[in-house]
Amino acid sequence: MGRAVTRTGGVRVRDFVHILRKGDKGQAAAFVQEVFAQTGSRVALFADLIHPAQYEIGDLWYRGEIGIADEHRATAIVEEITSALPPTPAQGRLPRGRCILAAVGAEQHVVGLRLVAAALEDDGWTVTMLGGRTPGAELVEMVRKRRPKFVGLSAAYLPRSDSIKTTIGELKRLRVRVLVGGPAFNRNLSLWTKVGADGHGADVRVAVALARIAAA
Amino acid sequence: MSSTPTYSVGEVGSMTGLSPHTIRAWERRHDALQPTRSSTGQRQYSAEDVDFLIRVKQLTRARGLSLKLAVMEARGVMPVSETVTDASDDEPAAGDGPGGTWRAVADLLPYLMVLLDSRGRIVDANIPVARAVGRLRRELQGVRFVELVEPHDRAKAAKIYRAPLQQRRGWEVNVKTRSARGLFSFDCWPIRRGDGWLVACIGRDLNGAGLEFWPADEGAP
Repeated sequence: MGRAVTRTGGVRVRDFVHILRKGDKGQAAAFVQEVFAQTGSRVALFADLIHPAQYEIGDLWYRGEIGIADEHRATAIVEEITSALPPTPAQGRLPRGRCILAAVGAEQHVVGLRLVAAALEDDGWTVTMLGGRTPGAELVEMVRKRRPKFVGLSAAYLPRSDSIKTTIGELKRLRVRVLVGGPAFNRNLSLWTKVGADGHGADVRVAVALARIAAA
Repeated sequence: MSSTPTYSVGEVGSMTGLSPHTIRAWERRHDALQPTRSSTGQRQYSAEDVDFLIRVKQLTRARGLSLKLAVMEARGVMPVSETVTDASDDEPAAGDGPGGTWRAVADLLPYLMVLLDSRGRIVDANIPVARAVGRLRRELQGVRFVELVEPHDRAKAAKIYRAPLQQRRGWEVNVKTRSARGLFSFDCWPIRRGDGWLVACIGRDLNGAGLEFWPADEGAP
């Protein structure tokens, strides 16, 4: 396996996907460390390597080229490696305020949401992470009490969008911005407007940029 | 933030990690983007443009696609075959040749589609079959179709491929899917191949909800 980053700064995502498919955690960790050392930023690492690799792994499963166990193994490796990375605060960052992140209803997939939480913290946000399977009513109640600048909701699979649409409607009535993300929204690019969100963070870098705009 | 926000090239650059120069270059090539212009002539990009650029970037980096193919795939044009594959993968890629193209079409349909030989073994199957029964497609080749069927329906399922072959419509069979209910209605046609016959079977979901592309109980990635 060659260098993880090309001379022009491109990240070799394809090589990383190959490593994840093999399930080689040691090699995956070394690869991530190399990209991390080059970029010096969790946001860049997540957006340029982790997210596209995870998307590709999910797509390989979707096309029937790998099994669900392979996909889960890749996710577990990514989760373990990324959770051990130290914070990389953005230079000259300002305290931006509070935000709340959650996956509501039956949604239990929060790996991407954890990456967004880390990226937002590096950008100066105070993040309250509620995790998966958060009841919509309790999320609304917490927002009412804590008054965050925005709420970020993630969904991997939305068999019906009514529930999240209702939750977003209640949050909007509290005059709180709502950003959404996750595979369910990445697969259906107009879904975020249909559920009434203010923006769609296609990856962590977009999420950080939209959060800044939401807070402005 | 309005419901239809627009972004400057600088904002799009900060969102995508692409330089303004690269964004404008991609815009020129293959008509990748068509931003509107503000009253002062500045480019204004939509949220869809941002999503599109990120997808193109992912496809070039994760699959090594050329910009042209990445743009096509990001637009939802038929999936291309330049995917990451192991050397051991002997399965033809989805886009290889006319047959591969039709197979890719079959993979998109919300129906179970299987080709059976005269002994009832699976010659080929589309991806919804693999997902429904929880196996990889290549693992299905050579498997007896009746092994995918609930025991009480196996005799009925075997009639699909046993002589005398005949066209069958609405042949209802319970398939052993990962969800609790697996009743499908199969239409089956004998197809001559060389000296022998294959049977093409198309199964429609009778459970009401249709075939889910991302079943909730299996941990969609």
